[in-house]
Amino acid sequence: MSAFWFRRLWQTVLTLLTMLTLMFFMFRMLPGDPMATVISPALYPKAQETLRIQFGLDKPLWEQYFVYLKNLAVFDFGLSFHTGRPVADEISGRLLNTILLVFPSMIAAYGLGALVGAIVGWRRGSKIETVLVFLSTSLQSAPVFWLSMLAILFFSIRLDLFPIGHIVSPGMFPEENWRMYFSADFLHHLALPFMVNTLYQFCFPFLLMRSSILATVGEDYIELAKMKGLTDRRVLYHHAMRNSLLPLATTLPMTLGWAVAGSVVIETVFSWPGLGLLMVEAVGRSDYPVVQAAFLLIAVLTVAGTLIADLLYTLLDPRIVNE
Amino acid sequence: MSDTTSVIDVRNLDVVYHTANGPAKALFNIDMTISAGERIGLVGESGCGKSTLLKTIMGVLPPNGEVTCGAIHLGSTDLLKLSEDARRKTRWAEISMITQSALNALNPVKRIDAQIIEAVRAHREISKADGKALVAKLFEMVGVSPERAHDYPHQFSGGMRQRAVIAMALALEPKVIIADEPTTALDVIVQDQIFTRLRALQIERGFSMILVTHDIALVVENCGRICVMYAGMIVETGETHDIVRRPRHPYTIGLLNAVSVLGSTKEPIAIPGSPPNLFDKLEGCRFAPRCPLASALCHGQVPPATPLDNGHSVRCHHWEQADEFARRASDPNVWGTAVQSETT
Amino acid sequence: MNTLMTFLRITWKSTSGRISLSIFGACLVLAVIGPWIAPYSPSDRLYDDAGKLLRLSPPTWDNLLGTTVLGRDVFSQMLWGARTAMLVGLLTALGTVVIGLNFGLIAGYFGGRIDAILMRITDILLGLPFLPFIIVLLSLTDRNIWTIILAMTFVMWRSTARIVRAEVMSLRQRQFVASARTTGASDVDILYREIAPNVMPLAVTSITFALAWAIITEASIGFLGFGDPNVFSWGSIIYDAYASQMMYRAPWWVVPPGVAIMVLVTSVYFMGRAYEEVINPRLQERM
Ligand SMILES: Nc1ncnc2c1ncn2[C@@H]1O[C@H](COP(=O)(O)OP(=O)(O)O)[C@@H](O)[C@H]1O
Ligand SMILES: [Mg+2]
Repeated sequence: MSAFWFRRLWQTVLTLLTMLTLMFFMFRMLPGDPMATVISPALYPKAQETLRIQFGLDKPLWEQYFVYLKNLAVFDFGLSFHTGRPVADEISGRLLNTILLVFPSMIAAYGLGALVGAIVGWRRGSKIETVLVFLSTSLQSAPVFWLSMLAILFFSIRLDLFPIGHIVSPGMFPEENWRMYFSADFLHHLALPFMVNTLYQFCFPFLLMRSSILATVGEDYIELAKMKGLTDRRVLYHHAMRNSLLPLATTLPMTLGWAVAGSVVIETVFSWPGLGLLMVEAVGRSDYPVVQAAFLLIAVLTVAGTLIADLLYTLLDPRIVNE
Repeated sequence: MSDTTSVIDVRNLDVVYHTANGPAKALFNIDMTISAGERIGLVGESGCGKSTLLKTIMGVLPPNGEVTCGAIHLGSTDLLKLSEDARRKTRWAEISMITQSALNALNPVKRIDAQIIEAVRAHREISKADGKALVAKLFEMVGVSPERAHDYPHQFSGGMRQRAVIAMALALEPKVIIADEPTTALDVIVQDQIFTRLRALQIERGFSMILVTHDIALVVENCGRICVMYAGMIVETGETHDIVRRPRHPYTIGLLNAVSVLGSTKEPIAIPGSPPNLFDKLEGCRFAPRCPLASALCHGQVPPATPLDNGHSVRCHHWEQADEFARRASDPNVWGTAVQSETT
Repeated sequence: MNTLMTFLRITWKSTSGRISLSIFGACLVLAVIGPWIAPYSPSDRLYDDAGKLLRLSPPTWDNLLGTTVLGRDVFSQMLWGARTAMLVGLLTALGTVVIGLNFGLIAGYFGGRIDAILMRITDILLGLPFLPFIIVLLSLTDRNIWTIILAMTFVMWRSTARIVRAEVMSLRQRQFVASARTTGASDVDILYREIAPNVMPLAVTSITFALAWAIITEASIGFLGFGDPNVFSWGSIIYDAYASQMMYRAPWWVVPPGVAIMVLVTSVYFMGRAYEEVINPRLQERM
């Protein structure tokens, strides 16, 4: 058990390390002036020189690599080309914004998807089942940014129910402090992207739960549960669904990671100041330190998601424990 | 007609499965009576409808299965006429079942004691302490250490899981326990242990038991009465010693032949051919295509259940030739003729 | 080629398979002939009879899907976009499956060290945030359609490899492999003659997934503004509409490319499902 976790943790660290290394070389090896991705070409030559020494860019590559790792360990991502401020400061609030957008809607989508998928799978062959399967497959096939635009077109512009984007109304919170997150204005801005993302993310758990319930229905333990005289609902919720939750639970954190990665798109449409939007903007401005930091943070979230997936799986499936 | 001691009385039961290829007539005209405290065996080749019959009795037919006619009396109530909820309450409390694949019958992600208590709770309140005591008692009865009750199914061996399911079946002290091929997945030694235990429990507790198997030898060893099933019909039923000594149906003769129960040194002979396709029209005796005694009558008309002495009953137009046929039946060539004549 | 014919034959058996195959086939035909039947060049600015630029004209007989803010014909852009979607989708799916299939076969068959290393690589790729990674990659290199295809293939083969590997591991135990070995067949022979045909159905299913994913991702990249600037793609049409800030006044500009993506990808999913239902009898039974 602990050996398993040790190995799992070690794998995660290895994955992250490989990713960091990949980034390091990608940013330094690709065509163009390697310096240009680390130090802003817009600075005076003198200032550039100072930074070059500070980041060890005058040293051989392998030494630079260790300086890079050391800096990462203390969250020193360098200075933003754009604002000149430390990247860590630029990024800190953005992480929270992304999490606030992605996690609640993912949890809602998974809860809803699992429930509806289970009920529909249990009463198989109904009209609703056919319609829902078709709808969710189509929804899943549509690009989420396009769905978002349609939602804005309809709910914000036609019906004027929600603001068109951003996290709060301009000028409401000039300081951007924590108070912002507890305002009705924030929730009002969150509502539409939350709904779109929930709807979009709903499809996968729904389809997965449905097919997993369909596979469970024929199992012997479901038949026995019925023969024991349990009510239909109890058989569904305590046996069929309980067991089908397993494949779902294992995918949740992983898709959580993917959803964070995918939030790039939805944040862009809704001008939501999260990590994804920051990254896209930074790429547009060739602000490489910010790009790199945002990317690494998203990667950490993704990898952490996978790790949590395994943890959940172990908790839910007693069969794993003894192996 | 209705015996006061009968617990379950199945009358004229027909079941079809609706499939993409049309309806499959899985059960036809089933009559079967289970008396209080008896052990009755139900034998027949795989696919002849044994599990279907049991599922119909338990009321857990798959969605595509339909009872098209008949009655299943439990005491004086017709189970088929009960509302779903009333029906649910009879399950396990009155009739419980040890399923064909007990290995997969336990939910892998729930602890065994919880699964047993869950069955009890579906029918009556039980406190935590009482539940625990009950499970301990049941485990002792089936011969598993009560300390293991809190384990997960995967921590049990096959035999232990089978015992756990038996414990579960005993939990509500039902009138009838059905065992559907309870030991097919187990090795012979464990199989023996389980049957010994089941017999002992049955004698001690006095419930009725339906033992279902494709292995007639097991039934002969364990049951007082036998029902022989073929392609959805009960073709012969009677006391075990009557059936073993004087089988009246050619199919029964073939089955007995195939295992040579009587301890003879003869090579066992399998009945050539295979059961009919349930989608076909199936006129006349369903065994006729494989039967050396079959005549035009057999192909045209379903044989009625003919009552003989001592509760013995047979569905065969030519049962009177049985004794003569039984003597020839040990010759494989006798069986070959029927199949050949059918294919030509 | 054989696999393709089998796929078509099997998928054609069910109604949903027939419908989705027809839709996909129609898209494929449009992708091939689209640029020839397009009424205008997608980047031409159109003027009306009075010589005024046709800005944001709603759909008319001349411009079936109206015009953009720059006076370009949306319908013609859509036809060119179909070519991009198909090209990117099919090439990425093909690359994904070729790489994934081979890695999966080798990892599953040889096991041991090779397997451990290959699986570690897929672990890392699995943790790689897909879209951000491609954006970073595109930000550091040329933005053209080939880079996009390469970048997507680089990340996407991981899933196919894992699925194939698991299947190969179970196939390796089977009788036919053992008997092939006793006849003295080499590893390569066993792998590609005995085992590979048996994992083809899985590979086909994962092609459909890769195809669907690639089409959506290419659109997302286009929408984020990292697409190939010399190529019209459905995603970049939506991006142009979005960037012009006029999309809310011109639904004919935004709606069609999204619908096209949705219909095409849905047909791909249903194609895959129809195929799987026939291949996997357990699924079929449930329906
Ligand atoms: N859900 C079902 N749908 C269609 N046919 C079924 C179904 N279940 C069983 N059958 C068919 O009914 C017949 C009887 O099956 P079963 O009762 O399981 O036989 P046994 O238990 O004697 O082996 C078999 O031919 C089987 O194929
Ligand atoms: Mg059976």
